Amino acid sequence: MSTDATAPGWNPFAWLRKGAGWNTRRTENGGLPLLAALVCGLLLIAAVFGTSITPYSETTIDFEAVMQPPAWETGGNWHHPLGTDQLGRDGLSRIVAGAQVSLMVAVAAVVFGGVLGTFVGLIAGYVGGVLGTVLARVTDAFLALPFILMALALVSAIGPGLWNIILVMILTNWARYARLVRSEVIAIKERDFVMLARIAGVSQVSIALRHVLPNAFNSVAILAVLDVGRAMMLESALSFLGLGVQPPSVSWGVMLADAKSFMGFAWWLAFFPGAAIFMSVLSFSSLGDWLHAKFDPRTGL
Amino acid sequence: MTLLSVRNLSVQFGPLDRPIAAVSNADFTVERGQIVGVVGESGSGKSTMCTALMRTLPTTARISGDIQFDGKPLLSLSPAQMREIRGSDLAMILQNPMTSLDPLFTIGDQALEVLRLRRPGVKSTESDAIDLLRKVRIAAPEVRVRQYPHQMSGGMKQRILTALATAANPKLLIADEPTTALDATVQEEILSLFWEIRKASNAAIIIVTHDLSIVHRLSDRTIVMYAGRIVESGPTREVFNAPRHPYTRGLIASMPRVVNGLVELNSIQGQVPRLDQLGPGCAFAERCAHATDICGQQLPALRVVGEHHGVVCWHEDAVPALPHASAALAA
Repeated sequence: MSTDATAPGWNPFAWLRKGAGWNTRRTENGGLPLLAALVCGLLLIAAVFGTSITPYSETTIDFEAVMQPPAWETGGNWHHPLGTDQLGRDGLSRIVAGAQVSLMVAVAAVVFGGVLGTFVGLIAGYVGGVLGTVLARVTDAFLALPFILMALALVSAIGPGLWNIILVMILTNWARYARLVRSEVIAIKERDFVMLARIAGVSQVSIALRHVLPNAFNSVAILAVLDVGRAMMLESALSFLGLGVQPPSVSWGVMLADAKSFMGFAWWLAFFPGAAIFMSVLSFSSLGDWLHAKFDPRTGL
Repeated sequence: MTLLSVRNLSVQFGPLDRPIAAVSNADFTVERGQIVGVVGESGSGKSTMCTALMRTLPTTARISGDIQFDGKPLLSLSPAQMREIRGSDLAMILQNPMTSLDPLFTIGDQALEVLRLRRPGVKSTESDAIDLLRKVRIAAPEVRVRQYPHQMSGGMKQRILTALATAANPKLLIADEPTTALDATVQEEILSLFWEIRKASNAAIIIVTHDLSIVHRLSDRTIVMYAGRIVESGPTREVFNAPRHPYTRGLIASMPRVVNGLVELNSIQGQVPRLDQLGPGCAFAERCAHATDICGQQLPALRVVGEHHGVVCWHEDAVPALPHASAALAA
């Protein structure tokens, strides 16, 4: 039926709108953004298996293969598909190793920051009163501090390193969850089933944990997925500034920092870690958007 | 035997120097097994009064007076003692069944939460939850226990809520507009359920509503509230057949009735006064056909006009009988 193809409503790019691509906007019928899910899946595999699935370790130095371009460029070969750096370390292996660090830092920051923030928010919202106000203002104060400045101050106080950077990110991240959960809890605790639970004689603690918290969980989960991308970017930024993981450990930010001096003639050193950061952040945020559209009853109506 | 005795109950909100009295000096008693209907317009203090009985008002509310429930002074109990009474001896059902169940848990989970709370130490299982649902005549209870609230109709949810509220055979069940959110056929089911509950466990029931026909059919006593005050209270039959307060009379006259094949609808002129703009006198004076000077200046005292029948009005003797009231209700 050739006429169908030109009928109003036929859209050759419908597959894009259906979420086959990144689909970063909430569409009315958005499916799972496949490309985003794929990138996140690859990241997860890289993070779980790390350099045990790559032919080289991220620290293997090979002075016979220094500054090789990617395989498809002249001078490149398939022993090092994404080229090598100034010490002959394999680019692909370093990206995979970096994924492990980046994702671990991001997930740890989101999980611990999320749990801390959720409980602060739950107490602030459910208990209310003076305690609730104090907690809410502390939360606001943390949100008002510029992240990089706070990270700089903290790292100079406790020193750089993997665990310290996770700690820094937890300290700068929890407030977002606290504010979200507090506002959700304030709305949920006015709902009839909470009132009835009080009338039925359920204790306050048990109402807060059994009925209020689970009803706020959706929003927290969505924020958490959105936040993984953001946390990866922050980790890269900190590592780039030398505040994060220290060589010989590698993260994408460290790779970018290393590439700085060779940018003029070895574009691949900066391009691949940069692309990795870009794709990961985009993928996590579009996955988060999709979750938001799918599970938030207020959208999609 | 008196189960609940409320003396001089007042609930105030707002600033101390200009308080807003949601309930003023309410006096009433409820006997065991008695069904009491509380009627009044929106904002007349019906719900606030009942919430005060449960002591679940927001902390900004100032409650004074005395509530004796089953020999215990409710207003001076500790929160822990109050929690023990709530749900077991004193239960409540809210207006909107749609939002009264936690959307994240199955009906069975929520029934079990209540059962475990009521019978600590007893192991409650799914079959106990099914029995509970069967009591309120839920069809296919073994399927329903595994379903979520969104899979049920409003009437079904209200029956389930009633089952949860009465799981421990409470001595007093407060139903705050239990049928307002439901359609007429479902209302019937809920009301007959109340009737059965009273018959089965001799529970007293307070039904708050603005549907006079419900009160007329179901309740033994009727309490009429206006602007936070009880203006008339008495045996339902007496209140409906011979209302003594002009407001009660206006309410009953405004029930729709069929005259010569046509539906007639009367209404009370004017509007309910704002609670922050009440004068010193009777709050109904502005809308009252019998009002004289004294009505606007001084609060009338309670006058006993029959056995257990009281009216708060200066001119209760001037209120003429209502010829068509019983006829209308029979229709």
